[in-house]
Amino acid sequence: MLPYIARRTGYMLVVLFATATVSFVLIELPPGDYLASYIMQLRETGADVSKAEIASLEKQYGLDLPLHRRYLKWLGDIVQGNFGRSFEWNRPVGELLAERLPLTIIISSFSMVFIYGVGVPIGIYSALNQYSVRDHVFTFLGVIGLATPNFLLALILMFGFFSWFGWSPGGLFSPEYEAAAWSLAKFLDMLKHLPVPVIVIGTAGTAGVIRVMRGVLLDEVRKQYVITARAKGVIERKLLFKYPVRVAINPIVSTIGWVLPAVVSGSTITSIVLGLPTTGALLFGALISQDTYLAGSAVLFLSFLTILGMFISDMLLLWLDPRIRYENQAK
Amino acid sequence: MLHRRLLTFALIALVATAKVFGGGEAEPEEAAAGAGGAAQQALTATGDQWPNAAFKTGDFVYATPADYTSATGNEITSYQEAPELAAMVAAGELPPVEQRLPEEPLVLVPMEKVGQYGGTMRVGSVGVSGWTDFTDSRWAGLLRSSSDTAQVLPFLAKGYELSADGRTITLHFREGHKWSDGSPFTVDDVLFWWEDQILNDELTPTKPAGWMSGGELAEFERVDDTTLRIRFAESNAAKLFDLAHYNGKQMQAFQPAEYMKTWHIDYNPDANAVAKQEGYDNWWEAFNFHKEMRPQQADTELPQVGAWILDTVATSHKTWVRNPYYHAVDTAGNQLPYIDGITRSFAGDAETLKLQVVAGEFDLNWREVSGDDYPLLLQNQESGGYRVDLVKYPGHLVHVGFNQNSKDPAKREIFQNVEFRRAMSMAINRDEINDIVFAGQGTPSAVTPDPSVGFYKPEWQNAWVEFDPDRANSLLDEIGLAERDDRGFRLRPDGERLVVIIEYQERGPRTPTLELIKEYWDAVGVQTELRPVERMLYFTRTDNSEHDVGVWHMGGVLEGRILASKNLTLNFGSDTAVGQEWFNWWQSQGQSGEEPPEEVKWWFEGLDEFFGLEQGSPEYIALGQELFDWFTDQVHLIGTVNQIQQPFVVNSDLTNVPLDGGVYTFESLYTQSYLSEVWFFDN
Repeated sequence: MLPYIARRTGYMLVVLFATATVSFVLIELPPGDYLASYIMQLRETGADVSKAEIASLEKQYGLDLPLHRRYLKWLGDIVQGNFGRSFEWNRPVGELLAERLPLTIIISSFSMVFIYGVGVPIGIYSALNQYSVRDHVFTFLGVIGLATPNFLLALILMFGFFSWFGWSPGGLFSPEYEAAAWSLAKFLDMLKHLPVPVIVIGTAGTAGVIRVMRGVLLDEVRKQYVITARAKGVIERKLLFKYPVRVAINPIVSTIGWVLPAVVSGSTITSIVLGLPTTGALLFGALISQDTYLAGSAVLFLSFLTILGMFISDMLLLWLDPRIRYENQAK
Repeated sequence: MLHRRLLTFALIALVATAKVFGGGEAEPEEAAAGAGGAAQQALTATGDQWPNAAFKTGDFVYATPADYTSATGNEITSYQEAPELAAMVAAGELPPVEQRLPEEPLVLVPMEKVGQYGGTMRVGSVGVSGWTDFTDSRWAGLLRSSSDTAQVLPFLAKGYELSADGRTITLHFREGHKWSDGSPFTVDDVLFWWEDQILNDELTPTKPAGWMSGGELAEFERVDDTTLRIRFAESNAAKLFDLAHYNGKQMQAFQPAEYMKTWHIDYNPDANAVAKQEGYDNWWEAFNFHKEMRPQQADTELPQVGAWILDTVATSHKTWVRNPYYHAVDTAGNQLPYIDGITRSFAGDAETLKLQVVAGEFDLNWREVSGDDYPLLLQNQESGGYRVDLVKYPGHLVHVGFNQNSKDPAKREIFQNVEFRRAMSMAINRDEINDIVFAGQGTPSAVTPDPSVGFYKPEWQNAWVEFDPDRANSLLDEIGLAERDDRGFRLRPDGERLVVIIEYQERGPRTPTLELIKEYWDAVGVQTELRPVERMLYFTRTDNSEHDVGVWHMGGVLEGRILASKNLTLNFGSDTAVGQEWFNWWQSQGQSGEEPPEEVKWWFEGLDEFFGLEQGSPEYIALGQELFDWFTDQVHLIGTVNQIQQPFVVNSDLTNVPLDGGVYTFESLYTQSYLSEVWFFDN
């Protein structure tokens, strides 16, 4: 067990380093840099920028250094726990990510509860009542949820909630609460803004969970050990939850690894459309404006969480599924 | 396994990179889209209506109470302040208002009525680093531009003088003027900025061209605590307009010296250590962070002089609060501004923001709404609690220009022929463009200075813009393009078909306008192709003169803007790049670029002379007319439709807002030149 964990940790570090390098290079690949895109922005408003000013700004932003030196500086700083500064926000990257994280986690946790809270029971129900009317209805809804692009659903729901209930569209808070300190009113205001993102992010995920749960469980309930148990007179409910459901939940657990970065980034496109203050939206903005250090650090951070998530789901499986455990011991 | 994950990450990053290339869409539409399918109201410029287009900022600004009294006979007898400041004074946290104001405060006349204190201005934007809607109003400069930019008004400085030779500008500051932390604001703060920031090679490796004259840097002289003299090597009268416009893009030609010295190595030997502690490698990096007062400002401690000062910084919003030391009062002696503060929310998406505007969640919006939204906006006026004014985009949202420095010698010769450019201009049906693309809300026009400009000539607007395809055809026949191929397209003198490619960045009404232009040009036998490109590529190509036809918007047509930008708008090197190599040659004094023909040299020399003349003088008007007579007659830039009306959403309680029919663009510093300190919520 311990050597296994040690080996995995070693891999993780290698992958992280490779990710850091690849993401930094890819971010730098498109022509121009933050300054160029900032100047474009100025020119579009009608301001003019002389060559002398560009040179001054280049030095101010440290963009006069060659790529490899900027990369080494960035990497060196990260090792010391400093993620660099964002050009666009003029603030430390660490601070920006830290500010976005709690709200992102709130949104994502609600969505996760929605996904599993709705998906797993429906999946079980559908499997046990295959081809019933309700199974068809759930399947139909699930497919719709899976097939509708998130941003479209977001726009429709946002407009719907606004025109039916007069709920404020977009964002996580109404502008008057944006800067206010936490209070009951602010919390209630946030609750009003939560249903749309939770439903939008949730539907696609839910549909997936329903399909997987239903499929695997259908396979399992027909297996002989279930029939045997049933013949022995085990209570149906106990039988179901103790054996086939436990097996069927395996594939879902193994995907928790992907869920962790999703929890932290929030669903990027949905966040942008709904104006949610998530880290995903922050990363997107950074990529658009070629805000190298913010984008690089955010990608690195998300990669780290993906790897960590993989690791955690492997450990969970190891603990949940004796078959994997024995396989490992056999080696 | 490992490989597969690596590949996945590379793919994620690749997708992200592709988004960068695809860019553009998430940007705020600063130039705003066309006024399609909307507005029926015509602009009425009558003086008896308020708010109205006849607004002149200068009529509402007095440099001092004495000026106000001598002009109106009214006297300001006492000063009052906002309730929350009065409470702080009572608690002993703040000195009384008389001590906070300078001895002679700036007097602003409320346009409709004296206001009441209170309320927060809620605005929203898609981007985070640009100026937006109301937040520009917090900015205070040495001088202030009128909303039509034609006038330079007092602001921080109560007065200015320009010497007869145009080489010396003298600025007079106010006794007892204070920064937002209560420390004195004096000439030394300007000198600190000049000597320790601009002249310091670490902070400013390349000196700003705007402060050069005749190849030499300006000289700053401290006459006394409140008097500053700036000398130029050559006449530089136009610099006044630059000073009034974001102080020539440096945002502020002054710094809170006492505060900033902490991070300056010349004043603090430990500046490097301080910088290290704050996470910077060098003192000048920390200095640059703290001095920042553009929209990226993040230091909330920085003393400021504007009406509102930065209070909180977050990734979802920024807020500003009233500056307790702001140096202006209204006619009743109330310290300004009336509005308590500003909240700027960062939205993710323009459509969402628009929905928030319709829901009445913002008190002001112009950038994210366009003519297309006019019906939707009108429909929800009552439920949203706002009203929709119409403001004017003074220049062209779309103009085109032939690249006379084309790399293709045959094309270059054709594009340099003035008859060709005139023919192509006359081939365009501007009335149709106005009807189809701009819902009839614009005016067909050549690219000219704005009618509000002092040296304007009405005939410029009509220079070669009459729709006359027959005349266009005969002009093209005469200049050696008479031969046509079997498909009816004209052949160049070398026998190849003349194909003109219009390269442009897709934005606002460009595509529909250009599609029409393509039809018109095809119809006179010049085969035209449209090629939308990404904006970075557009600038790379135009900067290197690799395009045939450039396309951009033209906002810098107001008088102060033409003077402040010096050479950079309405010129060969403007964003359509019709003669970029010539322009570079002139700018670099012959070091790079290509030597222009004599008449173009005459134009450049004439402009340089023009910018040294005193605005409004007979020589100034004569030379301005001579120059633009030539420029418009030569059709270097081809216009379509200008003076376009666009919706502007404001909270219906907001009073003293003179926007209707006004110009609200970068040139007018958005709301700032409309004296937003006296705007208030009347409820």
